[in-house]
Amino acid sequence: MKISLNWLKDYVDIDMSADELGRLLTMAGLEVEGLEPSGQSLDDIVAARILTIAPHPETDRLSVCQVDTGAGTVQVVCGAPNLATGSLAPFAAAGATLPNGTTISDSSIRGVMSHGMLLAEDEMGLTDDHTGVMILPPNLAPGTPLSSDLKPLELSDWVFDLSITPNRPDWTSVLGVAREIAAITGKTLKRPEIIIEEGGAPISELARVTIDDPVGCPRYAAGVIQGVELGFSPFWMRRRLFLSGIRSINNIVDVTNYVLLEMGQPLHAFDYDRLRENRIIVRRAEKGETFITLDGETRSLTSESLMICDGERAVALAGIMGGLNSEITSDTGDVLLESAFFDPVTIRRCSKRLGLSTEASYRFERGIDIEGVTTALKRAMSLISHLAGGNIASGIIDIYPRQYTPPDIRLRIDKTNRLLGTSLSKDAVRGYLEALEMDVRDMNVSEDDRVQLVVSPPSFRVDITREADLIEEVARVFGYENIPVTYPSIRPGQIGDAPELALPGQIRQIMIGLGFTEIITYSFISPKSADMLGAEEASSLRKFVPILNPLAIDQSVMRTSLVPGILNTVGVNVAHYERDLRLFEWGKVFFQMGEDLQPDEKVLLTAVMTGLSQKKSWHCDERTLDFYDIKGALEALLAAIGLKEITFNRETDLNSYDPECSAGVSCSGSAIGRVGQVSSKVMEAYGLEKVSAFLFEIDIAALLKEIPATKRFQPFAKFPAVYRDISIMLNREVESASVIDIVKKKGAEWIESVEIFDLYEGSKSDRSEKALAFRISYRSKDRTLDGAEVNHLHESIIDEIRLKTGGRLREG
Amino acid sequence: MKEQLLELEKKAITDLKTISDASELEQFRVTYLGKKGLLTSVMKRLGELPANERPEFGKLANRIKTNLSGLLDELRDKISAKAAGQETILDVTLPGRAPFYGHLHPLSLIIKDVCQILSRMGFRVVKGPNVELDYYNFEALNIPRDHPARDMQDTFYVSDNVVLRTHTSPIQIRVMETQNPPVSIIAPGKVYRRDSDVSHTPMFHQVEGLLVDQHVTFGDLKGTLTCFLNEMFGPDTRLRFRPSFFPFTEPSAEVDIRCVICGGRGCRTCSNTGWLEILGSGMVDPAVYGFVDYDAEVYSGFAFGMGIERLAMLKYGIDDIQLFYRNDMRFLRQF
Repeated sequence: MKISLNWLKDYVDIDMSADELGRLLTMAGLEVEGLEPSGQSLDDIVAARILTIAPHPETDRLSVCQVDTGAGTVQVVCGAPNLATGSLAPFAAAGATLPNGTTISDSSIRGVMSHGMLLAEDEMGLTDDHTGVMILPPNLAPGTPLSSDLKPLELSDWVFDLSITPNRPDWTSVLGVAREIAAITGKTLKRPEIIIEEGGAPISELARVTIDDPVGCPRYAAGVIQGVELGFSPFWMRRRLFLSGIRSINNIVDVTNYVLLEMGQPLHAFDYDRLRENRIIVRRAEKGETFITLDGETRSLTSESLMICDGERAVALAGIMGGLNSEITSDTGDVLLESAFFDPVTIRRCSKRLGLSTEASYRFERGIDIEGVTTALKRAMSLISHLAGGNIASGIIDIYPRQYTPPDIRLRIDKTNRLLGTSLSKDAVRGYLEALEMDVRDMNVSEDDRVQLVVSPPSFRVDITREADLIEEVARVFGYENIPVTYPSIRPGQIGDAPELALPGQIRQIMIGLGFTEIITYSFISPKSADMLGAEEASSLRKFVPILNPLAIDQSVMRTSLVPGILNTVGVNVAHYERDLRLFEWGKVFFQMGEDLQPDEKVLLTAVMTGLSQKKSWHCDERTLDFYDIKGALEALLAAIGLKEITFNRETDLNSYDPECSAGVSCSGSAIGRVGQVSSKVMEAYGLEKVSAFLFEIDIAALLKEIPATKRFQPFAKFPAVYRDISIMLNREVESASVIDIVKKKGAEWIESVEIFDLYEGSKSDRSEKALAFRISYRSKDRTLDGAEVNHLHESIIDEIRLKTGGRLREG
Repeated sequence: MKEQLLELEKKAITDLKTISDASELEQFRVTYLGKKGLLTSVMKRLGELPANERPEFGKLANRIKTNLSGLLDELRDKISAKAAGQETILDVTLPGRAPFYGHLHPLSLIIKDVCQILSRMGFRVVKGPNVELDYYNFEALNIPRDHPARDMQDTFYVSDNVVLRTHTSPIQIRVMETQNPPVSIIAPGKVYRRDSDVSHTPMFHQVEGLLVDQHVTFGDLKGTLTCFLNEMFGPDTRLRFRPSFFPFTEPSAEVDIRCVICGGRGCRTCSNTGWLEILGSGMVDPAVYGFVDYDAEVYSGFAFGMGIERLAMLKYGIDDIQLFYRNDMRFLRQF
C-alpha cells in the first residue's frame, strides 16, 4: 500500500524525517518496502501569469500566449484547452529540467517560437492528469518557484510503499498507520473532520435496506445525498489518490476511494435514481445468475456470491465491485452511499472464484472495523457535500442486528515473561497495551496466585483474540531489540542424522573427486520427456504427477527421471563449446500413486560424461570416451562407499540407452541402477545429435540397503601368494566375468584375485575371436602353497575354462 | 688435527660445486685425493697423535675419503653425460598430468555450511516430501483455507489436497507428530512457488529449524540466530530482529543483517536500507501445538526458515538468481 507523508501528517504530528519515520515503521512490523520523493524536484518551475492568448497562425489546436514569468514576458506555444487570460500556470523556461528528466529548450513549433513550456500536472509528476495546464492558486506572484513550501498545494511529499502483513487489516489505511505512529511516538491521533448539514428528507422516506443473509453481511449502513453536481475532484484529492496509485474518476467516486484509503472502509456509491423501488436487499446469488460488473465483464455467480440488489435485480457484487447498471455517471444527481461490513470468508471465496481482487475485497477479506462503518459513511457524506454540493438526507440507515462486543482476553504476566525471556512488570505491560488503545483491567488474583490482566482490544484489532496475540503486542511495543539475548541449552533428543542423510554429503564429495560437477535442475519437466526418452507405454517414466497450474508447459509435470534435466544441461554447455563434461545430479523423482495422493518420491543419482576422456596434451594423445569410462567412474564410486559384489549385466531394452551399449547394475543380486551410452535417438530429441553421452543412474534407496552397517577389519594374509598368468582365445560372445567365475569356483578359497591384464580383439580379417589374459593370484590363509600344487590347480582351471567356454590357450 | 680434517672436507665440497668440466675435475682429484694430495698429507701425520686417538682419527679420515670419492664419481658421470648431450633437464613449469576434478553446486555448499553450523549447535537434520498434503503445508501450520495468509505464497497444486510444498515448514509438523519434546531439528530442501521473474525462480531451497522444549524463550531465539549468523557471515555481523507475521509463529520476527555489500551505507542490494532480510522466525504459535498434541502450557519453542539462494547470492556476490538453475560450467567451475 502506498501512502503520502503529507496525508499522514493530517492525523498525527510527525517531527522526524521521512527516512527516520520509515525505519520506525519497519521496526514496528510495518515494513517500508520503498520510499520515493514526489513533487520535490520542481526547482526549475515557476508560476507564470497568462497575459494574452492568440490563435496559432498554422493550426487551430495550438495557441500562442504571452506570459509573465516574473522575470519578464515571454512567448509560449501551448496546446492546452483550459488556457485563460489572467490565470496562473506552471512555467518551465529553456534549460529547465522536468522530474521525468526532459530538458526544455526554445523551439519553433510550426513556425512560431516557443520560449519554454506551460505544464500539465502529469508533466511535473504530480498526478496523471493531462487534460490541460495546471491552474495555480490566483494569489501567487509570477516567478514564485514551485519548489517552495507552497501552501495549500503541498507539492513536496514522500510516498511510503508499505508491505502490510495479512494479520493487520487495520494498517490498510492512512488513519491506521497514523494511529500506529501516534502509539509509538506518544503523540495524539487527530480524527478526520466530519461536518454534516442534514437538509434533506428523512432517510426512511428515501430508501429501505433488508439483509437476507446476516452471516454474509453483519452490518449495512447507507446514506443519501440528493442533487449533487458531478465534476473533477480538487487537486489535493486527486494528488493523494494518485500517490496511492488510484485513478481519479469524478468527485463522487473519488470520495469513496479517498475514504477507503483514509479509514480503511470500502464504500460504494450507487446512482440513487437507478435503484428500483429505492430498495437495497443483501442476498446470496442464485445458482447460474450472471452479473455485469462496472468493468464491463459478465460474471457468472454461484450461491456463494453475496449480492447487493435493488427491488428487482442485482446492482453490486458485495464487497468486491459495483454493477454497470447502477454506477455513477455524468447524469447522476442523487447518490446512495453504502458502507457495510461483509464476512471476510464470503468475500474471499467469491473474489478467488471470480479471479477478481479489488481494493475493497482486499480489505473485506482481511476484516475491517465493524464499529467504524458509520463513521466512514459520515466522513464520505461530509466530503461529498463539500465537493459536490447536494442535500444530505436526514439520518442514515444502519442495519446492525448483532452488536459487537469486544472479547475479554486473560493475560498472565509471568507467562509473558517466560515466553519472551523478559522481566516486565505488570504496569509496563499495561502501559504497552494501553498505548494501542486496548482496555486493560486488573483481574482479581487467580486461583494459582498469578498476576493477571484482562484485556479488550479495540474493534479494529481483529487479529487479537488470544493471550499469544497480546504477548506479541507486548514484545512489539517493548521492542524486539530490547529483549535480552540468551542461549538455549539444547537437550539431546534423537542424536545424529539418519544414514540416508549422511550419505549424500559423502557421495557428492566422491563424485567431485572423480571429476564430476554437481548440477541442480528443476523438479518439474515437460510431459513430452517420456516420449523423448523413448519410454514404452507401460514405463514408469510415464507415471507423471501433473501440476494443475503450471507456469509453462515444459514445467508442467514432476520429473520421473533426472535424464531430461541433465541432457538439457549438456545442451546449455555444448552451446558455448564446453564439450568435455562430467556432470551429476542428486535429486528426487516422483511417481504418481493415484489421484489426490502424494506421489512416491525416490532419490536418484545420475551422472553423465560427454566429449573426451583425455585431451591431447604434451604427454598423451586424445582419447574419446567409451563405456568403460563411465563404468569405471561408477565402480570407483561404489568401491569408495564400501559396496562389494557388484555385477553388470548386458541389457538391450533400457529406456534412454543404446541397446548395444548398456548394462544393468546389481549389488549382491539386487538391481541398483544402470549404465551405458545414451541412445542416438534420445540425443537427437534433445538436439544433441553431434554429442555422445555416457550415463549412469543409481537408485539411492536400493544402494543404501546394500551398504554394510559397520566395517570389520580383516587381518592381512600371512603366507605368500603365487601368481600364474593365462591367455585364452575365446569366442567374442564370451564375457570376461564368466571366465573369472569359472576360475573362482574351481579354485575356491585358494583364489585371492583374478585380474584381466590384456585384451586382444583379433586381426582385422578375423574378429570371431578375442584373446583375454588373466593374472591369477593363489594364496592360502593357513600355509605356504608349493609350486606343484598350484600348477596342478592352475591346469585344472585351464581345463575347466576350455570345457565351459570352448576357448583354447593362446599360442606364443 | 681433527678440526683440520673437517675443515678440509668442507673446503673440498665447496670447491666441488664450482667444477664444470673434466680437466677441473682431474685437478680436484689430484689436489685432494692424489698421492701427494691434501688428504693424504694429513693422514700421514697420524703417527703424531697419541695412540688412543688414532683409531677414531683413522675412521674419520676414511669416511671423508670415501665421501669425496663418491661425490667425485657422481660429478664425473654428470659431466660426461652432459658432454654427450644426454642429461635430463626437469621443466617444472610443464603442466602436471592432472586428474579431472569437479565442483559442488554453490547451493549445496551453502546448505552444507548451514547444516554444519546448526548441527554443531545441537540440531538434527531431517527431510520431508516435496509433494505435500495441504494439511501439512497449510492447515496444521495455522493457515486455514479461505485465509488471506494463503496469498503470502503462490502455490502449485497437484490436486485439491496435494501441493508442491511452498516452504520447508511442513517438516515441523511431521516431526512433532512423531516425536515428543525435546525437538531440535533442521530441515533443508527444495520448495516451490508459482513465481518466476528476474528475482524469483519457481523452485528454490530453504532450511527450516525448530526447537521445542520446556522454557524456550524469544531471547533464546535471538541467541541461537545471532550465533548462527555470526558463524555464517563473520563475528562482526550486526543483526536486527523486527516484528513480522507468519501464521505459525507468534511473536514473529524477520531477521536482517547489516548489508554485506555496502556495510550499511545503502546500496542497490539492500534497496538503500542498509539491511538485508535473511531469515523469518518466531515463537511457535500455540495453534500449531494444538495440531500435534503438544501442551502449550508446558512447552514452548521457536522456528526459523531461510532461503538458501539468497544466502548464496550474498556470500558469493551472485547477482542473478537464474544462474543457479542454468548450470553453466562457467558458473559452476567458480565454486
